[in-house]
Amino acid sequence: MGDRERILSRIRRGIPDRADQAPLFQGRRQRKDRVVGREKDALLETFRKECEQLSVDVRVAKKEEDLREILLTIIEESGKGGLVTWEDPFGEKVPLDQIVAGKGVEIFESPSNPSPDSDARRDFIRISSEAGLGISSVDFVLAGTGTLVLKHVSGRDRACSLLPPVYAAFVESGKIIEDLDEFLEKLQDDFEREGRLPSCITLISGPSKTADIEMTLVHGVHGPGKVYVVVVDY
Amino acid sequence: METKCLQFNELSEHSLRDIPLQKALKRIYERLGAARNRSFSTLENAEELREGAFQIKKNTLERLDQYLEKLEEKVSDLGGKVHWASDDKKAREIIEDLALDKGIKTVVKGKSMVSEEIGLNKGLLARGLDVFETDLGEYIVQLAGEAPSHIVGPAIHKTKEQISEVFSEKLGVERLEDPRDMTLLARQKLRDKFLSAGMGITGVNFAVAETGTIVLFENEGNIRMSTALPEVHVAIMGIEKVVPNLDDLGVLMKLLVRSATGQKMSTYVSMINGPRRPNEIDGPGEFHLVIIDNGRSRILSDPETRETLHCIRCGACQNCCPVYLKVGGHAYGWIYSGPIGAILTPQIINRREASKLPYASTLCGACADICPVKIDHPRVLLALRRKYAEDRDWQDTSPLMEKGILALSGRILGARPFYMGASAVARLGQRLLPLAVSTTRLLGFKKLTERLERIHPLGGRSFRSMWKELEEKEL
Repeated sequence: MGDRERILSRIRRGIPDRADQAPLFQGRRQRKDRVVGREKDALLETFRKECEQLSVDVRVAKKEEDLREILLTIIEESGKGGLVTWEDPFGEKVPLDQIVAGKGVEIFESPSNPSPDSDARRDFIRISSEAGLGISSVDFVLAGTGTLVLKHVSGRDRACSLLPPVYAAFVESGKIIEDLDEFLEKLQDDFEREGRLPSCITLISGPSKTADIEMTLVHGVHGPGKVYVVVVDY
Repeated sequence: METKCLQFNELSEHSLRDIPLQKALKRIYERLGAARNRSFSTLENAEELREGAFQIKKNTLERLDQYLEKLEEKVSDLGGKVHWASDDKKAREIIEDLALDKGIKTVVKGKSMVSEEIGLNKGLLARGLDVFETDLGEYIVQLAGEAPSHIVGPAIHKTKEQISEVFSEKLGVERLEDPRDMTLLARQKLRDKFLSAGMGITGVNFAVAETGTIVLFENEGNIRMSTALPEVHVAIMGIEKVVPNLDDLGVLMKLLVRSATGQKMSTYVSMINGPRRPNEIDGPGEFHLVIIDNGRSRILSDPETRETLHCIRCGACQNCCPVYLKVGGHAYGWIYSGPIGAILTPQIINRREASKLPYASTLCGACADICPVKIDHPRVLLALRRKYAEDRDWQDTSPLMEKGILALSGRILGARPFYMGASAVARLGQRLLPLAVSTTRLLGFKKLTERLERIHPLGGRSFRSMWKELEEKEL
């Protein structure tokens, strides 16, 4: 008997008097305390408060000019190292190439159709690790915890929000939802529709941090030590 | 599994004299304990959540085989490979063979209690692999050649001066004073390892059966690195880590993060669904899930102590335990410490070795009050004490011998002439004690020598005879 059968049969023997009839997966819980249907501005306000607690720098762009200015400031503050970003992360709203044109910043986009050999992967990871700034859009923002949600699929890599010392997330204000409960419900919908979830989903709340040395808080231990959130509100 | 659980008393005495440790323990109580309480006060339905979590764990454990089979099916559908290991040895073999078969030289690791439990690093090193712990606290204790002393803060027992010394000695750098500089140094040193490692190994906080999702919580980013950069990701979990669906995950997630560090959300939560897919540039090409029993199915079979398997490893019971907060993690002699160690260790390792741990508690119940999944530690502790006292499978001495000893003591203590006689014989007999100690030591009977040395000799005279003499003097 292999280990699999041995473990499973031990478990079965261990609980002889259980009820097997109920379905394995219960329906979703209806939470009485759920807040629903808040206005965009109220959600943004909650989100900003949470970000303040997390030392996340939130900037709001009300028009394209604002966005240009904010982006250039971030590039300036992050020291003009290379810039890594998702493939076409924000569509026409944020014409990244145009904004940084002539500023001496090299942009490297995550390839959506990468060469399958391992050298291409290694090069990509090396470039991301040497970059000074990572930029991506997000799939959701959870107002209640100041959390950015990134679904990693082709062209939307894991490295750009992780390897550079500075990370900036661009958020369309319509992507702000209430909280974890609302997100998990949406995820359950996705799962029921698609039959599977993306290979990786990352939730980011603030800069990388540790308190392992005498419980002193230090930012930027492995991931980015500085996080910007740019809310595109137009 | 090597343990020092039998030396609980000696190790505790040592801890009580360790001033930096005492300061660190005070800090745990003041900061982590307070942070947890603050974060719970922002939850309106904390009690409801805890009760919900208890029910989720209880119901899942009752049908654990079915949820594990479902998990296996879903992870396989996603392109992952599932392995099963009955014990620590088998688990090590699976992972070591995987690494060697693929010609991997360097392994990076995220913090994982079950990897400590199975002695994974030692095994990998013995087979010629380089293994790097990448959580800062784990990295520090690995460099120092020590064991973690707290579930959430592995190096919580060390001062920054001690850490600076370890870094300078092991990494050949100047002495650093600022924790910031030390952290930056670790970032640089470990970044190279992440980029060159062929395998990343992590634990599993929750495994969602319905979707095949592995969920991992962290603040540093080292787990994201370990799961995004190396070509092979191996996640290891105890059988009790499975939860039915995303809804259940939500309940447990909120409780885990608040209980562990007092945050509303960990900095990073990774929800991993198999290896990377075609046209994705990062993430592992191979994903392996190792499901480990190592004594857990035995715990499951005992309804009295089954709830030990509810534990989600948040460490909150350590942060409020009056015993842990004085003796620290290392005194418990194995990787699990505090109230959870006191109930879990005796049920996983050799029972006799851990026989002292259920007594390492005042039964004050602070742990049960704080536990996010409502484990009733004092009740389980009492159940274990009863087993040690009454259950043949748990006892150190044979019950017959114990019965005999108790019957004899009863007779002697019950009648004064017997008692007087016995003390007289003992007083005479104990004169031979020094001789007995030196003889057993000479003969190399270490255990027996220690036992004899621990005998407290009777006083030269009894209280009664002293009293009598005093009375006569007064008169």
